[in-house]
Amino acid sequence: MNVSSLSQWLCVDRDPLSARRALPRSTYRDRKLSAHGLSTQSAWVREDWILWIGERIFRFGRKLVLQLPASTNSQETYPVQAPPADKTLRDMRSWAANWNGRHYEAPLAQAIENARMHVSVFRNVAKISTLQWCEPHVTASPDGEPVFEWWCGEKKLTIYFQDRSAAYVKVWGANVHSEMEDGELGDFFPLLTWLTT
Amino acid sequence: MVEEEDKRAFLRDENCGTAQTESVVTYVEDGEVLFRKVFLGGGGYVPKNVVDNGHYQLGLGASITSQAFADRKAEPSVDREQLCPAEPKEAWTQNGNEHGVAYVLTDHVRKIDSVVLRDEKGKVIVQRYDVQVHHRPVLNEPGERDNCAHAVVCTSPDCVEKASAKRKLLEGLARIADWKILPVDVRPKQE
Repeated sequence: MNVSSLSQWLCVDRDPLSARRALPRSTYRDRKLSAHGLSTQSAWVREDWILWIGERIFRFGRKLVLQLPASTNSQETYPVQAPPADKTLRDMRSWAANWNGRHYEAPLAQAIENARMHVSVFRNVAKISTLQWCEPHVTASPDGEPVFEWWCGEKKLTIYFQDRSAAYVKVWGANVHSEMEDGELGDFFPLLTWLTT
Repeated sequence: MVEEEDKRAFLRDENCGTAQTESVVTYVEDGEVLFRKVFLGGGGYVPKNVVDNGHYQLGLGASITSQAFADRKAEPSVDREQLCPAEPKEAWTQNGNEHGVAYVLTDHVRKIDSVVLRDEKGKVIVQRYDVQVHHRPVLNEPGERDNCAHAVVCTSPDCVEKASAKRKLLEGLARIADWKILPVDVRPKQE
């Protein structure tokens, strides 16, 4: 089985919502994986680990391994599950000026709070709409704005937070005319729909 | 030709800046490779999983984020590979084994071309911000390392006050960039 076959198995047998719940019994998981030729002997623990398979996200239980059969010179890449955005935003409060060696301003406290409130809204939108959700990559801009970034295949969504507002940039290529769009952040649902579908 | 070679040899001198009284600025050719330092843990990259020959390895490799090229003056600094006075060339930009080095091609940067803005109603304002690469050697600057390979990516007119233009420029640069050296926390382990 290769990665794309595994992806097909995941799509057919588990819908995204149920996959987010931890599998109830390890024997079930082991039997399921073994049926597809996957070994669970080299398992290691990582809580809340989310696996990207292509453009789908599935969360497995606390212990999961993927010892995939060897394929011929193939390399596929998937984003690593980012730490919870709330945690990074809490840490960001202590970032001083020049926090990354590039003389950036210290992240603005009010902007961090604005970002923190939006994270809850974003998660609720994803939950209600049953769209895929994953934690964004969180960092700060040179002007002290918290920045969220998501990748999904060729698509990318970036959101900048100011004190009382936010702005988004949609990217699906390198051409700034025809493959990017930006604006003031309003409803997150259309952005999440665009990113994940 | 000889004069140009003399200029390049002079710029590659390790003591450049201490023995000269004026800098030599040259045109950045389209075919040149430009290096950008990506600080370890500086928000310029996000780790990726890599499936290599069927063996799943976490956290090796990385995506370049839009903030990898962010700069307070909207003029991200880069180093011209051919003027870097080190071997390998990218080690000059890296300046510390833990950091990473991304690279872009000059002609790709120039093809980012204009950045289009929108007004508050969403209507497109045709505002041209031509993206250029300018050679700006750093010499005798307090607190800065002398760097004859230093160049900047800038726009004409400058877009430092236009957040939309700045952000799209960053996205464009991140899109065309690739890795020369990964940051240490996402490098494959040496066997």
